Amino acid sequence: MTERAKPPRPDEIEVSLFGPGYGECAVAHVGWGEWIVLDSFLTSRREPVALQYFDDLGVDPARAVRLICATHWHDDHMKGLGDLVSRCPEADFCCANALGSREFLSVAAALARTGFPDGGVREIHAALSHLDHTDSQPRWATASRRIHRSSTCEVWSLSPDDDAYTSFLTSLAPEPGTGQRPGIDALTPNELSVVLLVRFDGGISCLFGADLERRGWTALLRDDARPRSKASVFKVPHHGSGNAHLQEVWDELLEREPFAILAPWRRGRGALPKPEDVKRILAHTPNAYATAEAPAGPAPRNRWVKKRLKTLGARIAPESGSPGMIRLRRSLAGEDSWRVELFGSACHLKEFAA
Amino acid sequence: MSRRVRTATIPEAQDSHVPTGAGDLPPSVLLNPRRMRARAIRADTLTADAAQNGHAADSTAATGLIGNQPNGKLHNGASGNGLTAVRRAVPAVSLEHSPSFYPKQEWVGRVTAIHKDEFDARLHDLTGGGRDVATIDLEEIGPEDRARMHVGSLFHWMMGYERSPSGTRSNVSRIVFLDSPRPTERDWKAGEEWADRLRAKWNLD
Repeated sequence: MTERAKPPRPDEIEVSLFGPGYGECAVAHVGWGEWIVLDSFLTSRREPVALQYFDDLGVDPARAVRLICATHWHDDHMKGLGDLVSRCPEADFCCANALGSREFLSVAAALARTGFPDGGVREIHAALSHLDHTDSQPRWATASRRIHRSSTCEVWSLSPDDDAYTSFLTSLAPEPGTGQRPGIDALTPNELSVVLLVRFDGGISCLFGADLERRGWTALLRDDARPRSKASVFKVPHHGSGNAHLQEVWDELLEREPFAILAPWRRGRGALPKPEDVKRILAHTPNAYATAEAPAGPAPRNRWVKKRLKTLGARIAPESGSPGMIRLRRSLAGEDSWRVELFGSACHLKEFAA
Repeated sequence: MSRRVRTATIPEAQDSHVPTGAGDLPPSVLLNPRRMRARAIRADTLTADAAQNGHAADSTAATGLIGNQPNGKLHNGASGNGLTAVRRAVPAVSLEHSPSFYPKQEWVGRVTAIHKDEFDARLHDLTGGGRDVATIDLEEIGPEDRARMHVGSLFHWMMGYERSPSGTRSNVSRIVFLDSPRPTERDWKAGEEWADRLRAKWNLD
């Protein structure tokens, strides 16, 4: 058995983050064989990465996964989500409360009928359709709501806030006068990101920042009803982007020098984190890790094509670099810190070449 | 001169309704974007890998060709909630070139974001294989296509050279958009019915 395929002990908790350069998924073992999954992407075998990992560990997802959270519907967080939900019948499915609005459900279903909807919305639609067929109901995430409880922990959603909900519904309304419906490109889901706080008995907490941007964090911090815990593990929001950074998050929601983990993001237009993001995160903690070393280089092409692409100013890169995984484990009691393991192209953030 | 025919799976288009296509068009019109739009996007069991490896079937021989349906959809019965059931089919785009066009590089792409001067896309490399992400200048898109392109639009991007009847050779980069269906009023109505039913079931009203 490889080191990666070694399952956690029953009394050991785990947070793992996967990311090949475009795509993000986190899983957590919350003790005694129970798992939660946040988001999804597909491996090169076109399988949800979490399912592949469970397979490697010898874990049966149908029995072990108790909560699946879709933090928001951007493509890089959603690939394979519908499949994941259908293969984990014991799991509650959680997504932002706004996704239960008549407006969103109508748009998602109408786009699904066209055949080529945005990938993320299609996955959410698939997940909700599955729940419909199995007579299950989603857990609607909003600010300061406990959405799951196990024998060892509580899971709280800390966002989205009411303003984000209202603004989202407004963006879905048909245009006054023309009655024209919005396209999927009009929807900007980062503000509806579900931030999750996992609070273990004994005081250990993990904060999963999704892609929530600064305005959302400001609202979250203002919320008096939120549970007061400082997390020792922080899934850095929005791939380390500066637009998701708020100093108060580090001051008020996190322990000193937490384990900060992130999945880089790359599209033709740019990449995250940027060098200044790397510098900023490392200034807050030396315990920072990325799931991939660097954006992948350009794909090999013949000289003529390279020259033409340069002339046209087009920037092209392979969609996925090699997938990496950061794994943090610790005992629910006894050990005083997390043990870090890096697999594939995962690296310390100092080694990340933005 | 032989006619080059390529067929490719559309990225992100699996398990979906499939727009139908017109019949074969003469090679001379195949590089005309308007005519290209009218061409086939058809259900096909052909895999992307097969297409990349040059094993593509002739477009006329594609299996699972869908008959004309309103909104170009594949209807395969209806579910109880008013939403059309979806047949698992892999749609493919039929890509052909005029005899005077010599492709060097081809992608089928899907628009993922539109910015002020550029747009982002996911590309399926038909020449070298694999999936790419790209940022492309909007200058590459004609004004008519620019007005109608949206997140989710599908396109065929060809690079190569073209030889005129007089023998002059010129470099060509051409992006041809394929009409992807947008929801009709019927789709919106069915979507609203689905939403209302689910919200009642989940006590959200």
